[in-house]
This record gives sequence, C-alpha cells and structure tokens, in this order.
Amino acid sequence: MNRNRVLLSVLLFVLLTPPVSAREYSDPLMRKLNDFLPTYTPFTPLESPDRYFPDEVGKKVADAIVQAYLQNPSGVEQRARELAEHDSKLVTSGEQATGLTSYLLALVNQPPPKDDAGDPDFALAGASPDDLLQRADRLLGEEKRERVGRRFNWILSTFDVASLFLGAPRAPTPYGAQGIVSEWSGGNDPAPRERKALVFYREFLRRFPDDARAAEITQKARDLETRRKQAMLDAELARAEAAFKKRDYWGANFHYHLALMVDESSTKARTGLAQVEASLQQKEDLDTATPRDPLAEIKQAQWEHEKQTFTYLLPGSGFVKDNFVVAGTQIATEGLAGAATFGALTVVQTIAKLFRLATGNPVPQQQVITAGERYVHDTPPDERNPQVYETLAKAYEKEGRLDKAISYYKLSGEEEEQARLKEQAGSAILQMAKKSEHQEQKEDYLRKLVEQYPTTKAAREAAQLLRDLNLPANRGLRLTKAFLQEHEELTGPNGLGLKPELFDGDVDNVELAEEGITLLGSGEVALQLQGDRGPQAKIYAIPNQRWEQFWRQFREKGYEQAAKRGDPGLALLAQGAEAADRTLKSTREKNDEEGWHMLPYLSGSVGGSGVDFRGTLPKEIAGTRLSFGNDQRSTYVGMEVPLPFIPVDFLFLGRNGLPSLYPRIRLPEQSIKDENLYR
Amino acid sequence: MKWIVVSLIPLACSVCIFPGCSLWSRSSPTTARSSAPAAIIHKNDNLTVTNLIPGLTSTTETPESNPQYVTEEDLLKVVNEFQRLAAKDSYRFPLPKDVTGANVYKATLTRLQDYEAKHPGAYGEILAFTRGRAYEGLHEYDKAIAQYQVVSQSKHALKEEAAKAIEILTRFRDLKGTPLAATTPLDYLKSLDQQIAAWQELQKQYPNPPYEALAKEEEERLDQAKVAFLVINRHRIEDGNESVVLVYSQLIEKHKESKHQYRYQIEFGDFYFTLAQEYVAQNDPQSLQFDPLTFEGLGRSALRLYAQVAQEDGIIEKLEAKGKLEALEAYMAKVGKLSR
Repeated sequence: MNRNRVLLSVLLFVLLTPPVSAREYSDPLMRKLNDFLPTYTPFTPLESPDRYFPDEVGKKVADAIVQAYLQNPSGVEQRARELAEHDSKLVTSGEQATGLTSYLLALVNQPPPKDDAGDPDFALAGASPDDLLQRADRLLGEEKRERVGRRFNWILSTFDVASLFLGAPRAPTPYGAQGIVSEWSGGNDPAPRERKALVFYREFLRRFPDDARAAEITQKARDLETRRKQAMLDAELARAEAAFKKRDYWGANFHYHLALMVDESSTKARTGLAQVEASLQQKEDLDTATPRDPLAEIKQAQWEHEKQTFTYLLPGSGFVKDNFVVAGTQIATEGLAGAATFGALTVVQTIAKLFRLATGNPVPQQQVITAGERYVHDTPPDERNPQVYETLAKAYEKEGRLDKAISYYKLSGEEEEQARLKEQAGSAILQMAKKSEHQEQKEDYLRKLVEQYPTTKAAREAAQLLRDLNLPANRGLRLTKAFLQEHEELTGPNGLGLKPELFDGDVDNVELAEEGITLLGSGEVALQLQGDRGPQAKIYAIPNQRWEQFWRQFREKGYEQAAKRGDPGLALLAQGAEAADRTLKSTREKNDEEGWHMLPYLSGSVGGSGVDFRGTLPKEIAGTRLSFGNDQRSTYVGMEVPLPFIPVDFLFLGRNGLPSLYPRIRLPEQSIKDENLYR
Repeated sequence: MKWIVVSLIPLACSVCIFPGCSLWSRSSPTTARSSAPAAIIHKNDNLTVTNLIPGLTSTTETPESNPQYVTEEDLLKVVNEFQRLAAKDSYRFPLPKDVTGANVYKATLTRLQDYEAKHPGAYGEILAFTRGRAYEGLHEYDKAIAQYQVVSQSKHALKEEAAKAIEILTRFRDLKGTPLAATTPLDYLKSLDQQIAAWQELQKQYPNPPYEALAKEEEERLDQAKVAFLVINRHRIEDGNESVVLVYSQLIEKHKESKHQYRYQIEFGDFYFTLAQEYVAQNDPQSLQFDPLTFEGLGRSALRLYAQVAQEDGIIEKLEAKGKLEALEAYMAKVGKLSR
C-alpha cells in the first residue's frame, strides 16, 4: 500500500512539475513543430548570484551617499577627494581606477539637463537665478542671431566669393532681394524662443524678486510682454475681421471678445463689437431669401479651388510685389538677357508645380467637400442632383480618403471607378500593415483589408500574412539573432541563459536562425532554430528565475539606451508602456532596412533634358546637403561646406568647370521642440 | 560629368577632416542628451569641480567601468538619478520624470528591486532609506514608514534622519486616515475644513522640503474634494450652482502656485459650459423664454477661463484650452443662430 502511495506521489510529481525542456502539446501543429530536436535544452545551468563583500571603496561610496542624504556637500566632496587619491594610487601601480569618483561628485553637483524639452517643468523646477537668466538670454540670443542671420544670408547668397578672389566678380543674383523683402515685412511678433525666454524671466522675477538684476529683468519682461500682447491682439482682431467679412457674426463676436480679454482698451475691438451688434439686429439679406441654385455653394467652392490652384501655379504668393523686385533687379543687372533668364526660371518652377498638381494634392479640396457634404445633409436623397456624388468622390479621392470616395462612386453608379479605387485602397492598407511595427496593429490592418476589400489582389496576400501572424511562435516580442548578439547580456548567464553555441555559427551543435527568438506572453520562448528545411520554431518554458533575470537585464538596457542615446524605445517596452509585440533588430539590420549605410539619400530625376539629384549626407558622415546634375545651362555640382571655428558655412557651386563660393551664416539648429506651447 | 566626381572627393574630405565643422557641431539632439556616466559631469561643471578639488583630473569626465565595483556603480546610478530629480517642489511642479520618461519615484522603486536581485545583501540600509523617500513622494506613508524603520532600527548613519521621517510621516498617515464623520452635507464640508486646517498646521511645523510640499498637496486634495462634493450634489443643495462657483473661485485663488492651477481653470470653464448647455436644455433657444443675455453670460464666463489658459505660454494645458475655445465658439454660434 505504502509502495503504491509512493509510486502515485512520484507519478503526480512528474505530471505536475512544469518541464524546463520542450513541452508536449495537444495541438497537432504545435506537436509537429516541436518534434524537431526533441531532447535539446537551450539553457545553461543556473548560477547563484555573487554575494556582496564591501571593501574600503564601498564604505566610502556608502558614506558619500549618506552625506548626500544629510545634505552635507562638503562631506561628499571629502569622500570624492579620498576616492580620487585612491584612484591615482591605483593608476600609478598599474591597476584600473575604480571609476566611481565622477558619480560621487554628481551627488552634489547635479547637472541640469542640456535639453529640457522632454520635461519642460524641470527647467523651472530646480533652476537657480543664474540658470534661469542664462536660459532666457540664450534663447533671446539665438533668436536675434537667427533673425539677423536670415536677413544677411539672403544678401550673402548673392555674393560669389570665389569669383571675387579669381578677379572676375560676378553681378549679384537678384533672388536674395525677394527674400529680403519678405523678411523685412514679417512684422514684430515675438518668436516662440522669445516667448519662452519671457516665461523664464517671469519665473526669475517670481522667485527672486530681491535679486539685484530684478529691475533690469522687469524691463526686459515688460517689453516682451507688450509685444506678445500686441501679437495676440492682432491675431484675434484679424480672425474677427475675417469672420465679419464672411458674415459669420457669431464668430466675429467671439473673437472680438477674446481680443478684449487681451486688451480691454482696444478701440478696434470695441468698434468691431458694435458693428457685429448692429449686423445681428438687421434682418437677413433679401438675397438669402430668394430661390438659389442648390448646387451654387458647391460650384462656388470648386471655383475657389480652381482659383487657389491657379495662385499656387504662380511663382510666389506675393506675385506682383516679390517678382517685380526680382525681375526688376534681374533686368537692371543683366539687361534683357536677365529678363529671359527670369522668364525661363519661372517656367521651370511652374512646370514643377504642375507635376506636383498632377501627382499629388498640393491645394486641399476641403472647401468642396464641406459644401458637398452640407448639400447631401440638407437635401433629401430623391431630390439630390446625382452630379454631387461624383464631385464628392473625386474630391475625397484627391484627399486620399478612399473609403469615402468609394462610397460616393457607389452612389453615382460608377462600377469601374469603384473597382479601381478598391484595388488602390487594398494596396495602401497592405503597405501600412507591412510598415506597422506592432503585430496587433499589423493584424488590425490585415483584417480590415480582408474584410473590406476581399476581392482585391492585396487581400489574397493579406490572408497569407494573417495566417503566418497567428502562428503561436510569431506572437510576442521578437528579438532577432543579430539583436541578441549586439546585446549579449540579455542571453548570457545573467539573462535568459541561452547556450553560447546557439550563436557560434556551427549548425552541427544547434544554431539559432537569423529570425532569433520570440518571448511569448506566458513565460515561454520560441526559438527559431536552423534545420534542414530552414528555420524551425521550438517553444520552451523559461524557468522563473531566468525570466526575471531577462527582464531585469532588459530594463537596465532600456535605461542605459535612454540615458546614453536618448532613445527610450526599449525602456517603454520594459515598463509595459508600449505593447511588447514587435521585432527588435540590431542597428545594422535597421540600417539595411532603411537603406542607409554610407550613401546619402538622394532624390531627383533623370530625364531627356538633364539630370538633377539632391540629398543630404548621413548624420554620421557630415549631415551636409549636396546636389549635382545638369540643366539647360551646364553641368553643376553643389555642396554645403562647413568651416571650423567660425559660424559660417559655404555653399560650393561648380558650374562649367568654374567654382563659386557663397557664404552663409550658420543659424541656430532647428526650432525649439515645444514650440507649440509658445505660439 | 567626371569633374563632378573629382570635385566631390576633396569636398567630402574637407567636410570630414575639419574638427570644428558641422560634422561635429551638428550632433543630433538625441545624441546630445545623455547622462551617467559620460555626461554626469558637464564639461564646464567638471572644470570648476576639478579646480576646486585637488587630486581630481579630467579623467573623471568619462569614467571607465571597473567590474570590481559594479555593485557601487549600479547603486550610484540609481541614487544619482533619484537625487537629481526627487528634491523638486512636488506642489508647484508635476512629479519629475527620469530619462525614460517614467515617474522617478516609481522608476526608482523598480530599479532598487532589480538592484537588490542583482546584488543581494548589498547596502540594505541605503536601499531602504531611498525606498522610504520614493514612497513618501508617492504619498504612500505606511510603506515609507516601514522602510524608514529598517534604517532607524539599525546602527546606520542615517538612523536619526530615518527616525525624524518616521515621526513626521506617522502624523501625516494618521491625519490622512482620519475618517470624515458627517451626516449632513454641511457637516461633511465642516469636517473637510477641519482637516484642511490640520494640514496647514503641519505645513507650519515642517516647513522644509519635502514635507511642506507634501502637506500642501494633501490640503489641495481636500480642497478639490470640496469642489467635487458640491459639483456632485449641486442639485440637492440650495444655491448649489452658486456654491460651486464660489468654491471653484476659492480653489483657484488659494492654489495659485499649484501645478494644477490651469487644470482648475479649465474645469471651472467646463462647469460654465455645462451650465450654458443646461440652460439651453431647459429653455429652447427657438422659444420666447430663451434669454440670449443669460446664455451669453454663461458662455462668456467659460470663454474667459479657457482664454486665460490658452493665452499662457509654456504649459501643456494651453493646447487643451485652445481646443475647448473652438468647441465653445461653435456651440455659441449654433445656439446664437437658433435663438434669432
């Protein structure tokens, strides 16, 4: 009896203990997948963690942390000094330094972040008075430099330094004049950088009112605030006046009230409000009461669209003003030949715009859509003019809203157009699915495609992709072999504990395929192992300790990448802030996919009349712009040449074998990141 | 075309050779932003610090990790980031985020747990003290007290500091846990006021960071509770809407320095918007009983509050307020047209 009980216990134990090696699956497909290498275990034996034994260095570090918590900076600096001396001794005796001194110093000298865009409050939270003023002044300086630099660059871009040195100065080109005119008529509105500076000045005055510089800063802040208020007032008045012109009296009323909130004494706003009041008292115009063509509004919108398209084709928005200057200067400097050049350039520009018009949607169709939809909404179906459906279908197609376009083509009864658009929509969704990083998103797109456009070619391809996506071994966080090799800690003894021979390239001792591994939700891992018939998936249960170790390493890795490279991608996955159903690839794999290695990304065209290429060198090389090709005049090559020590770049232009060099003041990099909070 | 290629080669070389050229100066924002260990000390900071402390060389700028001291290095990484961010005024500013964008208190607790698993038995008291700080930042007074007790019951140098924290946090915990015994709305409001007064008293007693900010946050939470209570019960209370307007105004006035001040203004605007909608629901704009002036008055109060936020610079609520202004504009125009 006892023996039976023991046997039963053993049997129960064997049955209940979760296997570390491959599982048995009831699903035939899973069993088949796991028949491959039935006895193989990919894990190395577990190692117990090292115990901690502190030495003198450890004690100094602990004491420095204590001093930091006790807010005793001199105590921390004392420990740092001792550690630095210890490091010097170690280095003198040929040993490696502890590498901890800088960490200790950082306990008392916490550096402010270089870029506070990620956490804008941080800039204000702990900043000292000097820090606040430095930040504000830096922003103002950058803005000033950019404004002045932009204006000078328009002028400088007309001077060919190389021709000057070669003793054959050329006449300045007139295109700079166009920019200068536009630049100087830009107004006095404070830029986002200046408005951000004002926030810093205000914070300074709020927190340090007794500072010696307070009076000076008050004046600066007052000047900026006056300009800011004026800009806001002008914006509201402009909106109100625009609404009034359109007889949108409620809109005008709203914006005049907003203008009064900015400046209570604004006479313009008060006069405007009185006008609005008067207009609201009047009875509706007679013309709105007389019968009108129901499609008039749509036709008007179409006419407006055509006008906008025509305006787009013209060179420059302020056509008369700007081009008078350009053409005038051109003719003045080069005579009638200059006028011809100007004319040729205008034609080239117009042709390029025509091309964009034919292939894209540079002028939005929103007005036509709004008018059409209003007509459809207001008119009963049997009273509608069927022409509106086609108009709306075409407008939606131009806007890229293919589902709406299809539904209107259906109403207009155009079968061929429907079929064409369905194929187009199917391909677009398939492309989006392929580009999706997350499996869930990919699956959503594929399902939508199969359900909404089942008869298209794209749907047939999507069905196969959907089947593959639903295989158990494909559902989870995928890490390619190259990624795992790039981050060895994740698979090493302190991570998943995978056997090193899986990565040694020797197929005889079992090798991981390029597809790598997939971490499945339930503490399991699918290994794609190289077999005779290509990669074969095999699922293993991961021991708890290994699972925890892996995620610990993963979190640490994520933190490091965020701290050192500013890339929070892995950290978001580790924290569960992003769904862990994507594929992690090595840097090289990503570069391969994006087509970036050493060659710059180039765009341009090759045609019967010439070649034209332009692009930007990869950031890792220089990040400068270049272009080359040939046009009606000659072959040319252009490249931005940055110079060391001085904030000036040169644009090198080679044409007809003769070099030209145009100087350009280097402007501050980009705009501020949180610009939308300062508009 | 050959000369193009010939010209490009020296140009490319010139771009790559000059050390001051934009190849180096135009580092991307992501690469520029870095922290421990390489950027723990900024170049300028490093210069001043090394000048101050003899024996320190510029080698501290890029410390090389020594495997023998990885236990200490890992600990310093966690404590540095925590110290860098956690000392900020949590009443005036939102809880700080670490380099990954996570709440620094929560992130530190996770990192300490990972540290403990990786280096079992190392620096237990420092870990407990840091945990205590993180828990108190999250207003988890019980958990913070438990961690501080680990330190106060040891012979560690932070023993006294931990004991002080226990004393303060025990008072915080007890006050927060005091039940609001009330049978009528008025009693409930009175008892909220009593607790608010008690938190104000604690602020006076503990005026140093982080406890003053914590007590202010607790006081603010009760003020918010008062507003929420009146908003929920405004139809049951006499002059309920007027009472809500009054407490909202008091809340905004009292907590001008709070990180939530713009949120309160938006919520107050929402309340006026709701009142305008309720007025329209009760009085058909197309009927004779609809009074445009009453409606516009409510709408304009909402407009004023939204506009105050929309016209502020550098706050995330600005975008929300702009959107709300647009919604209000459309709604007022619609009702205005109907009422004519």
